[in-house]
Amino acid sequence: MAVLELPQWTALAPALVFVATALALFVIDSINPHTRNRSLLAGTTAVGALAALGVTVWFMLAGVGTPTAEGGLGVVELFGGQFVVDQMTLFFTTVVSIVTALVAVASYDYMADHTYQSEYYSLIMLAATGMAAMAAANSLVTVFIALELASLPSYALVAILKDNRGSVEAGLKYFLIGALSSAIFLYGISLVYGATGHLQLEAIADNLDGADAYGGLLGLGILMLIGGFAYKTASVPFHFWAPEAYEGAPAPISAFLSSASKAAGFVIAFRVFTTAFPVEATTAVIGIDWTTAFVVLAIVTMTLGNFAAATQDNVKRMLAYSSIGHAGYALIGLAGLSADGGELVMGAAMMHLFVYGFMNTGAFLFVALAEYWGVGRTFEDYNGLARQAPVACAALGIFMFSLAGIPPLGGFWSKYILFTETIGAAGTNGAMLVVAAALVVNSALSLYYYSRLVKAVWIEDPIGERDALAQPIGLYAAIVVAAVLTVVALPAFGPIADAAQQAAAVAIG
Amino acid sequence: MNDWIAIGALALVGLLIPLGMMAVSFLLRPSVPETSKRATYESGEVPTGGTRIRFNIQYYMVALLFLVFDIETVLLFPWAVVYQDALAAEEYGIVHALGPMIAFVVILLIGFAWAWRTGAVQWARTPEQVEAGADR
Repeated sequence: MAVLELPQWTALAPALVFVATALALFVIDSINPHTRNRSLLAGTTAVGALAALGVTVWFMLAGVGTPTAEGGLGVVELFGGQFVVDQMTLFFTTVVSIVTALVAVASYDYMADHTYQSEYYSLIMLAATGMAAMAAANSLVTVFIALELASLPSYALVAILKDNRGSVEAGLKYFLIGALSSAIFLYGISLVYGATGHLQLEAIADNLDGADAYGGLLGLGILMLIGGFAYKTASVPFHFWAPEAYEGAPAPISAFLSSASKAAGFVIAFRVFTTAFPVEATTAVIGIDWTTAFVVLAIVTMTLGNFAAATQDNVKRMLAYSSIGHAGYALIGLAGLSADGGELVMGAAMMHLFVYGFMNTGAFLFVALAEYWGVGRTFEDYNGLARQAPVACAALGIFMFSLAGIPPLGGFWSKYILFTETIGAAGTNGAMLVVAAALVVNSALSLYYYSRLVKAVWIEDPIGERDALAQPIGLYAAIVVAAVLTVVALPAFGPIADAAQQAAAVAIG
Repeated sequence: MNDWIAIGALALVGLLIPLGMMAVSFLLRPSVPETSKRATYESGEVPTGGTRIRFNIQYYMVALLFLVFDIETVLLFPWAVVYQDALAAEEYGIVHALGPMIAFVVILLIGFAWAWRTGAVQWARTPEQVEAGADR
């Protein structure tokens, strides 16, 4: 594998493939304006996403980003350290590209009678570019630009059903909260810059001791950065856009935002906090251990998400709140960093995000299928669907039980490892015991509302007569692939776990 | 002498000149009260309609396209200034100096061609034309 002979900048190839695909879609639409050739557009998008996936996996296997000490080709730093390609970058790019491919295939049917086809797919590609760039960003400037590049297309995508009130309202709310949190994030960046004099993450870490006189400013800046990350990952206190945006948006876009966008939000949070603000050095300057903030946020986020999800009647809203709950689980990765074995906790959180990427995308795609059928939005409307569509409903059962964390599905193992590592970290940080308890209690609660949906689909009788349900190829294919990936994640869990743990260790190291 | 004294003097003069002009005209001008002086436009134009006007979407399209090319100029200008030096330098060849800018302009041109082809720069359409290309 002749990676070494390639120039350095080719390490960004996954993001470049996304850009090239977006431009190809523009060219297709320029040659034949307002084309409705869905096979061509969705096909190009899916091929682009799969190509990005292929390049990423190839890089992983060839050892790009793996430290030379472990027989790899070394971490690639680009443009004076503004971008970095390491194992964490490749790990999260994998998640983003798989989810993008699934969403593109599912959209083929879901957006069938939409007027603006090429706009839709090119916006998806541009958002995916931003997410891939977020995975590689290594300076507060590139983090912010990548974040905006991922966010701006998302606003348009949420509001793309122009004549649907819910979609437009969701888009506006999403945009306003996004603008607010971007402003807060940017202000946080300026405060960190003011205190340390640097924007590049390693440079910030090297200059932390010089910021002694500005401890308060730096602390405030870090707090504001947390606000920006909380928005992108849909965690408390910037979570309230999520139920609105996910409910109003086209369901494949909800899947895209709640899986890929959330994973990308977590990768920048992980990278900024592990690289720029090492726990001990930062605590010495600002006087507070910032992991405390994440302990609180993790507990509040998972509790709020799960309790709110348990009270919903609308399936899409239930999934939206459950996605907030899962953000709480992933936040444990940052909460555990001050303890010994913190990198194991973070690796477990990355693992959970990986598995979550498939099962959550699949669950939202099932909602997309239900919307395609037009059966309605509430649990009762889903009653008895299994009699007419057993395959899709079997897949739904897999997603739901995996999200709840029932053995032997992938979701169980990622939660189990997260739990054991959290308990392991509790030896040096007592707060982790509370976090671990919250994780178990919330998982038990989540089983209630996940199984409620499975019960509605498989056991309850339909309320009224339903017409025969169509079997759209694209949606079915995407759902089945997501289900297969959720199941296959089980035997493949060893390599995934290794990759996540190594990536976390290198990021912290 | 402290430099700030000169700046303070300048600020003082800058404040005194307009105040002085207003005071002098207040003393010299004749007083002719008249109702038309209280109109919105003293030229005599009678304002009609509300102040909340909806602009045609075309306005924003053109503004956005203008912005794109404005930013392009901002990037092209410093690049053009250092271009000769970059060519002459040993470590950068023509590929390093010219390549990224060509890539940037090509991306911009693809976007512009797309906007043109999909009618972003087309002038506003009549209701009949809009009807013909109705969308949902």
